[in-house]
Amino acid sequence: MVTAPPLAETSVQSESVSALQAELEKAQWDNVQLRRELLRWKLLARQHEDQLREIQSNPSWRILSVVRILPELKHRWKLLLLVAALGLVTLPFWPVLTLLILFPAGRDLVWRTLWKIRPLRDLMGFIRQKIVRHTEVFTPSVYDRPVNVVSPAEGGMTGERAHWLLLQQLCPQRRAMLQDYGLTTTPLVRDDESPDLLSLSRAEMSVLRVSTNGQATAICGSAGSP
Amino acid sequence: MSMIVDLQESEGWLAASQWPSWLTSDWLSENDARLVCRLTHPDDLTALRAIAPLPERLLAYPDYSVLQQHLERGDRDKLHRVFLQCLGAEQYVTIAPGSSPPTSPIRLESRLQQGKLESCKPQLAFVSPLPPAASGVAGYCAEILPYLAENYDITLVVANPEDLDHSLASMYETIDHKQMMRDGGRFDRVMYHFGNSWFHYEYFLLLQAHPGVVVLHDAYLGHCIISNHAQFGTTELLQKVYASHGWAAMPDCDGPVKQTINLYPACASVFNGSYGVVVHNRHAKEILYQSLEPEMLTTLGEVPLARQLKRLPDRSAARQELGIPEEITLYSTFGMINPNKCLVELMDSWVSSGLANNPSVKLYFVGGGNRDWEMENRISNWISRLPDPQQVTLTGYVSSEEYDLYLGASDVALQLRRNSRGESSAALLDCMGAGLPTIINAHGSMSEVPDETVLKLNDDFTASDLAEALTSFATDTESRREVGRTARAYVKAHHSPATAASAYRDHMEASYIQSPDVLIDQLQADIIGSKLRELPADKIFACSDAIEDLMRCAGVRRTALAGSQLFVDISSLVQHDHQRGVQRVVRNILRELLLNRYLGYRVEPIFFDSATGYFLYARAFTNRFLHTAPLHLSDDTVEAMPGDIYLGLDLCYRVAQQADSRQWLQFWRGRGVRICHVVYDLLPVSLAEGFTSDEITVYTNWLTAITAISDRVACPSRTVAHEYRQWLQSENSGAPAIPVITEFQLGADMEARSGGGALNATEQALLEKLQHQPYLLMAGGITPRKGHEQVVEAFNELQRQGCRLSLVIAGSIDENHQHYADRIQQLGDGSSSIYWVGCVSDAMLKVLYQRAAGTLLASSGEGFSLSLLEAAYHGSALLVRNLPVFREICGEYAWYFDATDSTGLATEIKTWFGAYRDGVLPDSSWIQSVDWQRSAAQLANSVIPARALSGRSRLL
Repeated sequence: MVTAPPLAETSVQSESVSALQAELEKAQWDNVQLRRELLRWKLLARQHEDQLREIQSNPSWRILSVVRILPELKHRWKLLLLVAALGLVTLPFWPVLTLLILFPAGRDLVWRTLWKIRPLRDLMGFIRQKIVRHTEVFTPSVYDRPVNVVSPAEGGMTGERAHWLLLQQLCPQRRAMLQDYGLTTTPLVRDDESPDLLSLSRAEMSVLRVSTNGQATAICGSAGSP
Repeated sequence: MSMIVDLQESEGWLAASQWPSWLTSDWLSENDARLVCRLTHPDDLTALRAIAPLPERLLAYPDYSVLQQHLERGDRDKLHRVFLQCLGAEQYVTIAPGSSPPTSPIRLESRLQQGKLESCKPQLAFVSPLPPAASGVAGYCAEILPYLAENYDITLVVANPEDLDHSLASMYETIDHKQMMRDGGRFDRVMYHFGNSWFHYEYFLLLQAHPGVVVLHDAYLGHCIISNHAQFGTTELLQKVYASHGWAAMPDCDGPVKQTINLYPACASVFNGSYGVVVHNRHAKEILYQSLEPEMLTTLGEVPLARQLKRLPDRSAARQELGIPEEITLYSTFGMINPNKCLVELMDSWVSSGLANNPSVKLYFVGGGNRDWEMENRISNWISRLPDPQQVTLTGYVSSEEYDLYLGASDVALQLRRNSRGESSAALLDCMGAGLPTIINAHGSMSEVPDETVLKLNDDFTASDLAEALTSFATDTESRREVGRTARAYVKAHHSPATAASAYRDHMEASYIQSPDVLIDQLQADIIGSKLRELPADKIFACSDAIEDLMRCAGVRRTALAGSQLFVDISSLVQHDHQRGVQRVVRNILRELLLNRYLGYRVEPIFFDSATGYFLYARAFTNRFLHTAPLHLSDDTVEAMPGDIYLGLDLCYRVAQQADSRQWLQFWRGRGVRICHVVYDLLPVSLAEGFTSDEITVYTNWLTAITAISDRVACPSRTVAHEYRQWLQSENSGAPAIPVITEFQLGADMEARSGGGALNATEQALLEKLQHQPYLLMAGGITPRKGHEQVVEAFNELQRQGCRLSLVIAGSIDENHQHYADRIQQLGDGSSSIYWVGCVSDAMLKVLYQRAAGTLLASSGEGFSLSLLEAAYHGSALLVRNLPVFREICGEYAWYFDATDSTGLATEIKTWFGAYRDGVLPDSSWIQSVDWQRSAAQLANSVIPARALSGRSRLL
């Protein structure tokens, strides 16, 4: 007959088992990490191989050897090249631009056109970032949701208006994406300053869910709903 | 835990004279119970943990004023009940101070019941591209729809219902994405089919609005995300990579977009937004386990890819239709033409195997779709160079009828892959289902196909391996037939649409029933939805936010970020970098933590924003700090989950002291976030004469505050740890449980990753001046504690004695000590051997260390000394005051002095200088130093608990 070991012995055994378990788990975790890193390097290596193959197989890349280094260049150099190229290409338009800049409406037009060109916006953002870095003034990039919003209970607000106000609580990027879905007849406000700004707050998702839920749309009404 | 003991309000328990005698740690253990309590005041937590048995089983959550203000009692009770359900307990009791042991605990209805439907055929919104869309997913979904329809009343959700295949349109109700967005709330179930192409892009937003179960056809979603490049450029891709993989992934995203897409699945939003996720193979699961943290993947399931066995035309009929002679052995490869199909290797092997010269064989590339012109041109060029260009045919895109003809006409199929994104190959199953002997390589999910059903090459096969396989099948007809029969039987048994549809249903029902997210979404819709006509929008948002936070307290993953978080508090650094020692430490450790992929935590720098009264993610700062491409992410309020860690790395006194910021640390600690702080030194306590009474008071208050709220305190040296222990004893602070005290070393390699930069003209001129004279270097901020006064006087004395040793003083002047610095400068004004170089660049400091005869540290007290470590790291001999902290770091590899006056120090320096000329100084390069990478790892190890990894390694 096998007798149970004394309690003290059991506890020692259990301690050594849990220590072993911990070691095993640590080893497994290390294994996972190593596999992750291996995968990453394999992918990176393949990426570079593909790039090389692409360069070697493409005659236009071979001719324009300078272009080969473009992906390796730092963003600032790429932007500088872009600005230089743009400067040269737009040389004939400069007199017209100068003329436009003389008038406020013209300046506004130029500014709005420039803002629509993504690389230029990036460039402007880059320059702003540089300036901010040097002045060392930190401004958090917070999306300021509208506060002190009028209550729907006051003054006979329509369901459509209440729904619109609720969607205004969402960040600019989410609002821009929702724009095409016609959730409200009045378009959502576009944020021209930072149209890409995204909030990852979970509450945003919940508010979106509540606002597009059957019950909510029934109460508030929505554009195009049957 | 099987029982919750609800203490209700903390206030009552702290006012009560004594804790119930029956509510002991033994009682909690016996009943497998945990305590839950609402904190009337944030600081109640400290006192409550002092009186509660097993404080680790106490869950304390905030008393959300916004919910108290805007929700009625009934709604709050409903909310509380869901909160308790989410804790996963079977029963609960509510007790008050002085109450007797509970006799009849209330049973909590299991949350397993919440998603069950009474109707036998639930309404299902089926969101997927469908024929005639040129997508593999579209064809696949059309095949499984009839089988799903046996269990669900299906509504199809497609981008353009008017383009939908007529047979589908006539069988099912169809709506477009806009209607789904507006009207999706009416469905009992939603199923999304996500693939890595532009067809699926809009599903991200639909999923956010109407969660459901996701069938993930590809583990990587980069191409899908970037398909909206016109609207958001690469920003959206970067944002999703950040949310899925954290800051450590961002430097990899500085390269070409293709690199980002290939490296990172970027699919966390699919897991965060859905109730469950299904993949079709084990390889996809492996990719996800390797790329995301296991906490995210609890809802992940596997369902075999469905494939209907087709009624194909017989071989002769098909060949007659296609104009292929009977006697020809036909090799075919099916699917879109792209580099991932190993077609280059196939072309090479075709020639090397000799088949190119065999008039009785032909090769067909069947398929097109998303055309890869480069690859097609390459194949066309290759064909034109063959001895018989008619031998190989590139069919281009074919209709499903033609596709079936080619399947029926073929003798051997070739389905080779590389660069798998976790997809399952439908074309492979088509070939196997058609009874074709198929040559594959063991890549990705194809490695899971049983060996006897195909001719399987190694993943990284060579051209000769493939050539051998091609020739063996060309001659061995019997073997071909046998493999084909086995393959067909395998597909019939394991991939039938009926089996897959039933597995989809099981997974979907289980997800809807088990996921706490369903319960919380229903609650939000119920409580918040009913307030839409009453409350202003901002209050609705605030209520929703509070409910989310409450559910996070219960451990439900309600956050958009993947993985557990290590919050690094840099409240001081984000405002202003004072360029002192502590900031240097914070910058270096922060950088190393951010770039470390092996922590098992995503590192998130945070700061307290006094304007909003919240801790915010420092995303804008970190973006700039790491010099990564702009992410355009908002600095949102921090979303803390049980198991996360807070590390007070920065020396910011106000965070732990002031009530508005400290309350968050208490709230987080109450839900199981480990609170850790770094104590750099205790100089205001141990060297009080060097500080004003205000400084001492502020410091002591801070030390008391962090002692009360921290689980761990990390010190940069043994001496500091010892001093902290002594302080705890002397204070007898009455803290219920003192923090665990750990140690770590500071890095010595300056700003290792910043490169150091180049010397400017002034610095070069100074170096030239110093070139031919030996000098002692004093580096570090100029404060009374550092002993500059004594050193300058000693050098004046040495100059009078004709000693040829110079002194170089490098370091910034603290504005609080400007008068002191002026006085020291006046003292040394007459001396030609003293150089004041002020604050210098890292590059200059490095050269100064390397060229110095030695480095002098005359501090009367230090917690850590970066200049000491840096000097040793760069091989400079050390002349240091005899302090315990210096003894700890340097051991026998420094020259110590005890002199307390300038004359004594002058004598010591003279002796030291003699030893220098004789070359007999202790060699400081033996001092053990670490770099910042190691230093950050040591700190991380001292704050990160050993984690339960059983779930993590389940698959791997």
